[in-house]
Amino acid sequence: MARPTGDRDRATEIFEEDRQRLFARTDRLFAGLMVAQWLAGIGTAYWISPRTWVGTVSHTHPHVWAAVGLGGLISSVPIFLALTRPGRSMTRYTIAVSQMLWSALLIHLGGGRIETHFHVFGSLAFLAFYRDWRILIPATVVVAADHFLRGVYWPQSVFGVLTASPWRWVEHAGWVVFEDVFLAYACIHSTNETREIARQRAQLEAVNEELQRAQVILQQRLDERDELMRVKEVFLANVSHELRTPLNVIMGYTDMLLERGDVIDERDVLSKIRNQSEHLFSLVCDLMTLAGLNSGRISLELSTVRVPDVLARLKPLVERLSEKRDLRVAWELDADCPSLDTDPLRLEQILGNLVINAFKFTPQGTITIRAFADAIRNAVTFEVIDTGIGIPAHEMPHIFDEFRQVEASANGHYGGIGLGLAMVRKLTALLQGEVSVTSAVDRGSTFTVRIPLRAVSEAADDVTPAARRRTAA
Amino acid sequence: MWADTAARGWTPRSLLAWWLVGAGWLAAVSTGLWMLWTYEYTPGAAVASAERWPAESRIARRSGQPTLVMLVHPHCPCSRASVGELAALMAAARGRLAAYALFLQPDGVADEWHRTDLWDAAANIPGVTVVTDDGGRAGRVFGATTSGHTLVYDGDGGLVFGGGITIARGHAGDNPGRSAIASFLTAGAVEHGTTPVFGCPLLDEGGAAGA
Repeated sequence: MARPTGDRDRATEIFEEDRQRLFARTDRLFAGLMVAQWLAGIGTAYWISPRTWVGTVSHTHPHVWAAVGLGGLISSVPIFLALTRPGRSMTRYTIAVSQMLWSALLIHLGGGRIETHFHVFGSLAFLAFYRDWRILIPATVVVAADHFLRGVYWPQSVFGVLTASPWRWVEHAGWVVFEDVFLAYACIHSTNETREIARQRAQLEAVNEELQRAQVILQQRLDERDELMRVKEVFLANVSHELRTPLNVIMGYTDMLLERGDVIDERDVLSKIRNQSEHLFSLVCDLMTLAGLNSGRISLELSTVRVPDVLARLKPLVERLSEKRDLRVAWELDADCPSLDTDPLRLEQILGNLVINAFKFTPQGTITIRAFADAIRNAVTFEVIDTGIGIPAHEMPHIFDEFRQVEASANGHYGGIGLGLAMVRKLTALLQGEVSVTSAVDRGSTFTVRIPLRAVSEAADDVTPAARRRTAA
Repeated sequence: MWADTAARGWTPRSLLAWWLVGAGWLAAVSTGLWMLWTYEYTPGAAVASAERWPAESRIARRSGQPTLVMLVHPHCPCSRASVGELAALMAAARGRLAAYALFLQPDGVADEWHRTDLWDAAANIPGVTVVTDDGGRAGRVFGATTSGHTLVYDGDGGLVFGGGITIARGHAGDNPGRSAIASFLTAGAVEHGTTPVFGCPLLDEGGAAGA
């Protein structure tokens, strides 16, 4: 089964990181070993051969100077590199060379004891900690070079005889190569295991990330569900109240007519029944409209709309809402306002809901209804500006949500079930327009609706009337 | 290694600098090791050993039995290996060789100056008799100037072998000197009658043994 490329890259990344950490850790280990070997070399030289004698006169033995000076020189560069450049290939190659030089020095300081020769084979094994078989090459070259040179210039030092075959050094180097073969195998095998572990870790990371993403999505869905449940509860409570209240009034007045029809003012009672019925009808219409918008069953009837006509059709609503209210209503119409190619009914619904809201939330003051041309955007902008209670900043992001009301309204102080602004947004989108609001608490709100001059493109001028209907998305 | 240095942003100049530093370091270490090796493998002054058992020697030679004499500076660290080789020789000789270890006791030094761990090591070798060489006279008699100088005389007092029985200063292990003596004891023949002696000079630079 092919692995995803991303997992493969991540596996390589993990492998390289682990490898780098191993190299750096082993470098530091060898830095400590170099110090220990230096101290051990000095101790060995001082213990075995502290002074050299000429008759009765003695001097510090050259072995001691060799341990201090030459040992310090051999250790200095690898220690410096291990501390300043851990993990670099230059560092570990220098350490490999240095470690074998220490073998040569310790053998001399120890008087050529056979036990000191074990340092060579032990050092090769330590170098295998890097799990990099290439490290063994310079180390082996140093050992071979040491034997070769001493075999040439001081053959008795290598083989214990005054004359030896010029290839005897190969035999000694061969034992080193013998160990190298097994160490190299171990390094390669170990590296392959590390690579496999990295691959599995990469896979595990990918799975964990998927799980975390799924968890986040799940939590989001749960939060959305909880919010929907809450909104549903609020909606049910509000709708229940808004439906029952006028029905109670209607039933009450109807009972009154049936029981006391001869002594009460029938016109007044019937008028009240009519008002409550109208309110119920409006509520049901809003619910049906919203359902239609949400299911995409609302279609537009486009026609040429004059802005003054739209505002004129709002006036009865405004007058009715203004009755017995301490409010001033101002109308501002741009004289050069162009006509719109849009659905007049939906445009009136939008402006009507905004006006109703403005009157609902403005106890006193001014309500201004404006319309003006927006030449840059090829649109007409309508504004409904009130000096009412305003909208708190934390409510602004949700002001156009369905069944959402500001706190005061949610507490039943201003009525309604949170449909008006939701419908404004959806209807505006249907007309390819934009709606926005600015507001400050206790200073009022300004609702702005921008409707393009043409709901369809210019090239559609010659389309049939049927084609000018546009269905809600 | 090249990819590593390139990937880590090494400039050619810095790379060259590091290579020069590395080469310098290797050169310095190599020089140090070369000097050490040269010291290790530089023997003492070559001198002619007494071809026949010196009559003026204070040591009594048993006629008919090969005799070994080793001259030792008691404080010479290199001679520790020579004494070790002597022990190996005596173990292989199994009584066929009478051995004397003459420890230098220069004039004008403390009486116990010669009593070192080397003296004790030599005294503990079965078959070896340790003797003090007052004033270094025995060394002059036998013609030895370097600690560890070993002479073997046959049963008639003729010199069979004169030289060192280590391969380098303070280095134990197989060596031509030991092989030559062993060869004499087993086969009666010696391949190399003389070998370099690695050890401290027995005499002061003026040629005297002590004040």
